[in-house]
Amino acid sequence: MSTSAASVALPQRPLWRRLIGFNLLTAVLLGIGGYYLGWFLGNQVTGASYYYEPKVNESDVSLLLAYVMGVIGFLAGLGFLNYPASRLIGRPPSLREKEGHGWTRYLGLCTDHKVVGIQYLLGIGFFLFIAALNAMLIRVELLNPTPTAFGPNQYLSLVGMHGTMMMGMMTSGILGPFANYFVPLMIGARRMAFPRIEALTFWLLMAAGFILTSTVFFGGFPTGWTGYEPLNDQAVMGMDSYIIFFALVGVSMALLGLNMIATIVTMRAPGLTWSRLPIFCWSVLATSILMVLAAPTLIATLLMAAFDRTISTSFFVTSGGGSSYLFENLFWFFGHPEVYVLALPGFGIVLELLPVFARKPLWGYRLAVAGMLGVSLLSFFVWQHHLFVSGINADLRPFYMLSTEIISLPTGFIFLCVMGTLWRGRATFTVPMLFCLAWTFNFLIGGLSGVFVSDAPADADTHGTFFVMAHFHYTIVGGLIFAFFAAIYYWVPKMTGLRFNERLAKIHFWTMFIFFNTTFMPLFVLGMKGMPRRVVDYATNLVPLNRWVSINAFLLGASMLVFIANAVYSLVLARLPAEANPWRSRSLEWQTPTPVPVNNFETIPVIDSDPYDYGTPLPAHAGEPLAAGG
Amino acid sequence: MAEASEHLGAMAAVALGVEIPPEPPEVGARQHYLAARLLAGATSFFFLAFVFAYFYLRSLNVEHMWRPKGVGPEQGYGVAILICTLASGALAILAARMLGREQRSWVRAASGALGLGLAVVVLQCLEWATQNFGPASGAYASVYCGWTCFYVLAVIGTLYWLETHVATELRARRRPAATGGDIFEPDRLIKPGLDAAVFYWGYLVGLGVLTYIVLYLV
Repeated sequence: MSTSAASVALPQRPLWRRLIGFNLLTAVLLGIGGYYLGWFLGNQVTGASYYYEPKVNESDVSLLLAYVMGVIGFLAGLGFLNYPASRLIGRPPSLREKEGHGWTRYLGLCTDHKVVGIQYLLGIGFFLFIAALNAMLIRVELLNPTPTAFGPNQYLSLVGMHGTMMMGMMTSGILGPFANYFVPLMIGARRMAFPRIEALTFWLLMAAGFILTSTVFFGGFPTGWTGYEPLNDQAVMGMDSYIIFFALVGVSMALLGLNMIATIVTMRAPGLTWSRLPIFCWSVLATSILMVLAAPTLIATLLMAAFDRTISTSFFVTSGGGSSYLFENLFWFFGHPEVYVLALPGFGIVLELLPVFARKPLWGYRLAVAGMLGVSLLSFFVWQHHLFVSGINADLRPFYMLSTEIISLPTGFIFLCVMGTLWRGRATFTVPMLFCLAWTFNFLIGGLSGVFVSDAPADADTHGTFFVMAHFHYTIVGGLIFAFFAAIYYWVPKMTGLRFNERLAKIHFWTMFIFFNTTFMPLFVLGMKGMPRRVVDYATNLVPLNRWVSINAFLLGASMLVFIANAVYSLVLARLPAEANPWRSRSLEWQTPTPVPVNNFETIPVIDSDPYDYGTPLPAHAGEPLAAGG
Repeated sequence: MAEASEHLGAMAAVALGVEIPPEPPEVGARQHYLAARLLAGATSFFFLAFVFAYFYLRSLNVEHMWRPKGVGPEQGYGVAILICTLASGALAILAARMLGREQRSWVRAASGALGLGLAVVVLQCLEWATQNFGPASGAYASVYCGWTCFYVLAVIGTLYWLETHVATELRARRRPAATGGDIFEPDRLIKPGLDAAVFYWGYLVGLGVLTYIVLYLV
């Protein structure tokens, strides 16, 4: 696999040849064909009617088989089965043919990590938009204290769709686009360790997203994103969409994590020692460990649930010797690390960006690494705090309360590093920097309220209320989505060679920051006043506050429209050109030309210093401070 | 590169001028080594859910439905499956060692491992077909069916992995020049790949022993 070999231009094939080849069109057709084949086989196996029947195991068999075969057909259409089939007969296929060129490579199997990164960005962006629309609909319903726009079942489905899509798709929200694109560049590698697996993780996620969306055709699901038993077992066929969605997300997560770990451990450039590894890569590593270990437990749990719904096992069915608490325990064994799967990449982005905009070295590099690895480790020992009010043995509560409170220590390390880096820095308030600073504010509130609800007596009062909802929205939206936007504004100029309009970007930031807080801060109050989650009607004395929240949520949604308008204007219509290194970053990814060549580096970079030596006496390291706003 | 460096006024973090050599085989070997271990870690956490379910439901014994009277696996099948699993694992390890000593007959040992692995699958299917309980016969039956089902799927996947190396070797022997793509030299691929597959198969053998102890003996 020499550099020159992989950069050879491929001859353009005729249109008809491209249409019938392995591409998205073929994938969709085979996916639909596989879906109906699975449905047919399911019906043949179980003898069920072809018509939709609520809560009939046979229909669940058909639908689950349809989804599985649909996904297999979809992947086959994209060409994912070619490699395993070739290897089965001992034929070694080439990666080169999959690296491709032109815009069509974004619509199929491509093993170029940069293409996969952009695919992830667009794909996840699409599903984020759908999930955000669900949130708007939820707030429409909550304008009134009694069901108005939707009935209770529809409302529950909306809540479930919103939560599940956000939690599922955003597990790869930063690792998908930004780690796939930038980790190889940051470590001086030409591609990921397992490029086909990298592409597979993306397309699995897309298939999962559409499967979850299809739940509306099968009655939705009433469980929220947690899929709790016994509701899970009792739910109509829409629950099967949830099960397959999260199982596919789990597979995608585990494979993504495995690939990231293998890449970072084995493919670092000469001189890139562990102590010189960019802090973003450390956060990716810590997240990947969680993904590889936690996601398989989720997959197993969902497969058990699928068995309960189809072949009448009784893992979670009390009458057959099972226990719904088993599901709750297993789910949260995955679910709490999942929270850190969402949060850790945010830590990494903020710590990566702050030195660039403070123009000084990252303070407490080793402390930050210890913090992220500490969070990873401890996150496996806190899951029962989600079950404090479920009737668990009271003797267990102190341990889980303490372990949850202890996890705030390594998280505190991160804040210490943020503060230390900002201290006496020559800060420039660019849009990515503003998002990082907003992250600091939001995540602090999310973190402190987390310590509060980790306390068993406090949790007994706030569990299942809007208080907890406010807490995790501050943690995940405030921690992840703000970091996600910081990464977009920071790295899109590298990914596209184009920049965002600064004025619109700042309008987006300020509206998002203000309306995020005016939306979610009052939820703490609503929670303290006893407003329960996932219930469509509420007490009339809570109407004014709920209307305030809804109106601010719409304004928060409008701030996203500003972002979309900016993206369309800056990147599509005006195509504003970006400087080669607009932030004067020292990190390796900015040292490559834009657009980055297929193999990233013509010559192997040899790393002889760390990426955060801003302001050191070496003139080449220092760089000039950025002009305000620039 | 030149464009970026010019813009920045030379970045000291990057020293230029070293040509990229072809991907060293050690990198691929390390990737296989690491991936197999990570995969074993992921598999452990997957089956941990079943182990947890086993002990959790057994200790609760809800409605006395943990293991109703008459529900129990066939010991004969269990022992036969265990023996085939152990023998297959031993042959796979032998094959990897023979390849390490560059003995071409490693293919025979690997083929034996494949055959015995297939026997594990067949025996398990036979047991499912003949056992006196089904997945709906209580909590133990649920755990048994789920655990063994996914264990067999893991075995099939690993057998496929082993088979790809045997197939690559046989093809390379028949048509030495017909290689290419990202696998320029099959020998470079087979050794680390086989080591990784054998490691994972060995791990699954260990898991098979645990399966036997928990599901058949405890």
